[in-house]
Amino acid sequence: MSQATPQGESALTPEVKGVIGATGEKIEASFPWGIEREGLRIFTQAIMDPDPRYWDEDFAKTTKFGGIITPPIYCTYLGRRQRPGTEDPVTRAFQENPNSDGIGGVRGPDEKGGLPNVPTSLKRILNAGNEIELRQYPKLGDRIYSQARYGDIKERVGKDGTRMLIVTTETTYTNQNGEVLCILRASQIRR
Amino acid sequence: MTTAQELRQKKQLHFDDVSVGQQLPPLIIGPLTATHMFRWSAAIENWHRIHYDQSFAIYHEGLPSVLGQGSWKQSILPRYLKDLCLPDGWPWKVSFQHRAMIVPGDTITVWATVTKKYEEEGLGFVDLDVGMRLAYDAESCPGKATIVLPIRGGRAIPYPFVPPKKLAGN
Amino acid sequence: MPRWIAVGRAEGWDDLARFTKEMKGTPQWRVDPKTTITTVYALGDGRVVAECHAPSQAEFDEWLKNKGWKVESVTPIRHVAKAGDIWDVRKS
Repeated sequence: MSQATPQGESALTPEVKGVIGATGEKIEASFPWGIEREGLRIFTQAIMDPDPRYWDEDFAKTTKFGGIITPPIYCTYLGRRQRPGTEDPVTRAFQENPNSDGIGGVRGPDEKGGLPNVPTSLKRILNAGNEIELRQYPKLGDRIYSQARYGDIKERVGKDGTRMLIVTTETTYTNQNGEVLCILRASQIRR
Repeated sequence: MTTAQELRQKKQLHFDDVSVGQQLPPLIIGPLTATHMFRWSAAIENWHRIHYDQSFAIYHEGLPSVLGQGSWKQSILPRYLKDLCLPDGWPWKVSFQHRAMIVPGDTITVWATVTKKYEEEGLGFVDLDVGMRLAYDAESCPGKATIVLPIRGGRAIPYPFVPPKKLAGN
Repeated sequence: MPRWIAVGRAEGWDDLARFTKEMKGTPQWRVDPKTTITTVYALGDGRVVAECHAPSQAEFDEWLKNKGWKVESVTPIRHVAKAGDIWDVRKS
């Protein structure tokens, strides 16, 4: 099958290539008290995983993990929770926009750990897939840190010759000892 | 659905026991309801209305109903691999894409088929095609995974897991 | 996404068991990735009413035909009020 002829100039400009490897600030995703039992219970019940490694201390001690663990990527959800002492983001979002979708405006304006924008005119964003790599499970009391970087940006040519970018953002989650817990890679199509 | 006792007593699947083309035991979840989806949104503080406000989902977003969350699927796949590997294997990595939407009433079969097996540094690596199939045969989350299974008589899989240098860039 | 209401008659749909069989399973109301039969009413006078969103009326017409409805009318919807939520469905 012959490839479509690419239209126009390459979208993978020197400016776009320049952000490959850009790394955001390392931020703490957990609250100061770290991974705790109640949040763990609520999460494991929401994924309907009854694994006693999450709650039976006596059994968990007999496993290779040596104690209570958390589900594979539990730590990656911690950063989106509302921090104590902050303005209620849900109330604010709907005061600003009564037709809020529930997430627009809910996130705070001073989000840390972000990456620079990819300098492209291709504004439409589609999810192109995710990859999860696991190294160890967090334990009770662990404090969780995350750091994002642009892992790669590639150009792809669609069947109609349209140029698009595949942007892969890699977020590494570590604990208080700097040990890697898991790495999430999220790819987006920019077209 | 698995039980706590089954996971407590799970027998180890060894590298020696799997063969290319083999379908591993599936995990069946469902039927999912709007309440399951609401519970997940609350658990992770995802307030997107498409997951719990049916009028918004249908009339504002043109969706068929409230939708099962991609973030939920993202946890189910590694959870399934974790279960397959217990007690001493390791669910090293999984990649996937989101396809068919999940709506209340759907039953999901999480599945895996062995596509390749190979040894590296004395550990058994098993590549899988994986997915989350809906009852009417739609695939919701096609992907690929690599799990690490102990080889009978071989060395224990280290924990924390460090991928062999030769495979780390894969 | 355009949205329509169809009014008509469908034999046997006044029986709840039959009505359930016709509408319960996901493929019964999720016709394809973009076409959804979002609501169906079986009325006391024997008529049935269905609401659908789809890329075009043709998808809805096809579903009505496949379900064996005797269609009296198919009409585009402008606005919807649902328990205090107001939707201008021409924009969605």
